[in-house]
Amino acid sequence: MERKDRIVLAMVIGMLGFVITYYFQPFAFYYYPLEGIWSTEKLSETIAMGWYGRSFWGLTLGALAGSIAFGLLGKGWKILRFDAAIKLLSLLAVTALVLLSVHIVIHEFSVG
Amino acid sequence: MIAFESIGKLLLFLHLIAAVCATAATIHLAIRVFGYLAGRYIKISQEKVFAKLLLISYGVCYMLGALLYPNFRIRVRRDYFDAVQHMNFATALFEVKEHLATLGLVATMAIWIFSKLIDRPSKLENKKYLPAYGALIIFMLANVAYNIWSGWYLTVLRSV
Repeated sequence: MERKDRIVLAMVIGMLGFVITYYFQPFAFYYYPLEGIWSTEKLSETIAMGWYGRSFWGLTLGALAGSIAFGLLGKGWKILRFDAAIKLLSLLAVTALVLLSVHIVIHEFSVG
Repeated sequence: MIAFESIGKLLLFLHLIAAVCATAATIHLAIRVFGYLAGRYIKISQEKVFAKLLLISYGVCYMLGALLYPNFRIRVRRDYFDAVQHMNFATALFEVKEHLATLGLVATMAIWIFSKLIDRPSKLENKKYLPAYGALIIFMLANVAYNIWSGWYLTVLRSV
């Protein structure tokens, strides 16, 4: 596989990994601004901020997925040699970002 | 004591400067890349500069926003939006802004990677990357437009 295609495919998998992690939030940790502490437990009696943890896990697991994919795609894989497939998959990753944005907007305004 | 409360206004000002740079870089980048999609392959070196500028300014803007967030969460959202005005709409505007900022960071990194990979956009082997590159820039245009507008509006309502 050509090096550029390998990088783009790894990036696509990294972006999809980010979107899935950000959407499902399999792990969480919270920042408590009044106490100035971090915790994996959500305490109901004080203000907790989940955005830091959600962003951290999304970016970290997305980067990890992309790195693993980059390593695996270098092992002589011959799949996806067609330009159309590369084009389609990279557009799929952007679509996933857009759909996640739409979900966030709908969720936040319906909660508010 | 809330983290970075004492330098909240300075951070907010620097956040604004970085946001203006990121917006300008996105617009200039869009002009170049939409030109590629229309078959005008000019000012390629400038496109690389704007992609790098976007990555740096957006990254700085994101970090400053993350530092400001606890101060905003307590002094603006809890003490004013929730307690005084019951402004659920403003809270939702801000929550969307924060989430879109993280999504924008991912898009910004992807844009920078594309700009590094596409050495000559007129080359046939690079044309397959242009639709996703253009789509990411459209996403970023919408992203920075929302974030600049909502950031300005929220600051007008109540600042840190």
